[in-house]
Amino acid sequence: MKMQHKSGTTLVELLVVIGLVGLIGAAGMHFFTSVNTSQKAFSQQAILQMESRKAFDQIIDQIREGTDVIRPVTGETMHYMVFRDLLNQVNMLYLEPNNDESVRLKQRVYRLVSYCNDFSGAYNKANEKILHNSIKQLRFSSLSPSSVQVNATVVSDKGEYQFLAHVGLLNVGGIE
Amino acid sequence: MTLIEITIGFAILTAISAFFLSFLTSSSKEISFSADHFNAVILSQKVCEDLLEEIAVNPYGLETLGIDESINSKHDVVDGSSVFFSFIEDRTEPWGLIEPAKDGMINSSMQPLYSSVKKFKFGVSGRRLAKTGDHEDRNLVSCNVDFSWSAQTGKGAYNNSFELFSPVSVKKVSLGVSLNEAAIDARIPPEVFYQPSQTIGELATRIGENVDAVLSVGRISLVSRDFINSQFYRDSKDAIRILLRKLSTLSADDSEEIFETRLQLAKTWYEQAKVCFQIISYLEPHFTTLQQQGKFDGTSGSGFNPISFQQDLMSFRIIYEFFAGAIVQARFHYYQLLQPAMVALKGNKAQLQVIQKLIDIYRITSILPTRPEGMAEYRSFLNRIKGLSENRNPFVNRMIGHELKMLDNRNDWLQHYPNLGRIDDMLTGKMPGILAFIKTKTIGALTN
Repeated sequence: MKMQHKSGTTLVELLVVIGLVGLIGAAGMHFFTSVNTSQKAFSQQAILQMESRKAFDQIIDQIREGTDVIRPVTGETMHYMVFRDLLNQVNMLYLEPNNDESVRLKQRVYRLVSYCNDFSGAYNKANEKILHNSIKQLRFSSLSPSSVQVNATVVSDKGEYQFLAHVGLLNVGGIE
Repeated sequence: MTLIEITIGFAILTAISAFFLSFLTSSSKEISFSADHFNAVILSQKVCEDLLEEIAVNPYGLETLGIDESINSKHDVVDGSSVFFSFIEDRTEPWGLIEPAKDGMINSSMQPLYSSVKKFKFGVSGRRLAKTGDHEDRNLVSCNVDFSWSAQTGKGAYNNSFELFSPVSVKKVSLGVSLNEAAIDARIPPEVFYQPSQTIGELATRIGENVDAVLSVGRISLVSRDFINSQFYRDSKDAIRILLRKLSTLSADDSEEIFETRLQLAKTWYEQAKVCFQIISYLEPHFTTLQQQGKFDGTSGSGFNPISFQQDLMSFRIIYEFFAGAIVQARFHYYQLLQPAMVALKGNKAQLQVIQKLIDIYRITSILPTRPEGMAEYRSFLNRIKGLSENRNPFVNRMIGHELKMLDNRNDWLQHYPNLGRIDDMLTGKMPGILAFIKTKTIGALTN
């Protein structure tokens, strides 16, 4: 008896292949989606770090121009800092609410403002600088009249970063 | 599509997935390590800044902090394990005081900082570049700050090395005032011995004395007379009179003028004390020469004029008394600059500078042989400043604690401050003998 030769694929084989391709495809899609999400998270963490470093450098650069800490006095902790610079101008570092960022980040955040009071005594917009846009908290503590400790928390979309620094002022000033 | 083809496709996909997974894990570790490293850099800078502050007010800051040449043990950054992270901020009452055991430390309430720095351990070592002698290296300390932490990528480490200026060696200057000795010596025969035509050698031979004794008597006489009659002495006294008069007319709310006038008074008195001390230092060896040669003992020496010499000795005595009085007056006026109104006007930096100046002056008045209460006054001042700096300025507070401890052993204290040791050699070692010498030789002038 001559056997009948069958060519092509059966319906079952086709269904198995389609099922496997579908399964692998779904797993692959899920995997690549999660890869994409993780990559975004890492990028945002890297951006947060970069932002924090920027904020840190800007605060430090500003304070290092000072000669005398006026507030906080030694032993005191405050949410703002007042200091005198080489030109005997009074400078301030303080926070003001940033409503737009607060809405976007769904938490209360502040702008870090640096203001240099010129000799006129009147407010001058040109003397104001925004050092950072999303600071959650900022505290200045003084242990000596020549330096200040800064404790700040920077916020971004994907978390917050807190740093603690001790910054020395210019070694001039006081009694001559 | 055969099963083999599907298997191959599946294997390729698995390999790609494994590669991506490994990449992601590694990126995550790197990001985390980078954050830790940044933290370590900032915290290490804080330790450097703390050490800078410590050494600025206390040349023996490393000794005070118990820092050795090598790192014997490492401390946690959190929970107040180390003095460097125990004065972070004032978070609880009483306000205005940072209490290390209460609110000064980084504890679990300080988030997210606590969680991110909990893993850190650090150690500090330091050494003076030259342990003894007066080489410039003795004034430099080398410090090393080592941070370490366990990281997913292995062991994290960050090291920071730096040098700080911390002067403890003897100043390479003569304590004696710089005088034109040739010009003074030329005046000795005509003005002290009334022999204008003779040289010192001829004069010594004629009166039967040695040259050293003649030079000593001549220099003591002329330098003492010159100072008492000098324009500097008169101007200084006038300046003080004018400043005191001005001070008495100032209104109590004119703080700026009061501060400046007081500061000028303090500086003027201090400058006078300095010049007087330089003269004392210059003339001291000449008194020693006369004492060692037994001059003026029993007889007045064969060729000296005892009457004029008595007057010159009295002038020297006045210079010493003027020095002792001027240094106490300088101390008084500097002290007045610590009044609350003055501090409110000039700020904490000026206050700290005044305290440092006062410590220098108190150290001198504490070793004045003619001021027996000087040491008690110094201790009392230190205790007041210690109380004031408690939980406010840990650097000053520790320096004073160390100073008070050193004062328990006077010799050890003086060895730590060689410049003060030199002043002490003069004031405590030499001056009592000189003053006794003057007293016995001028008794006639005093009693007749």
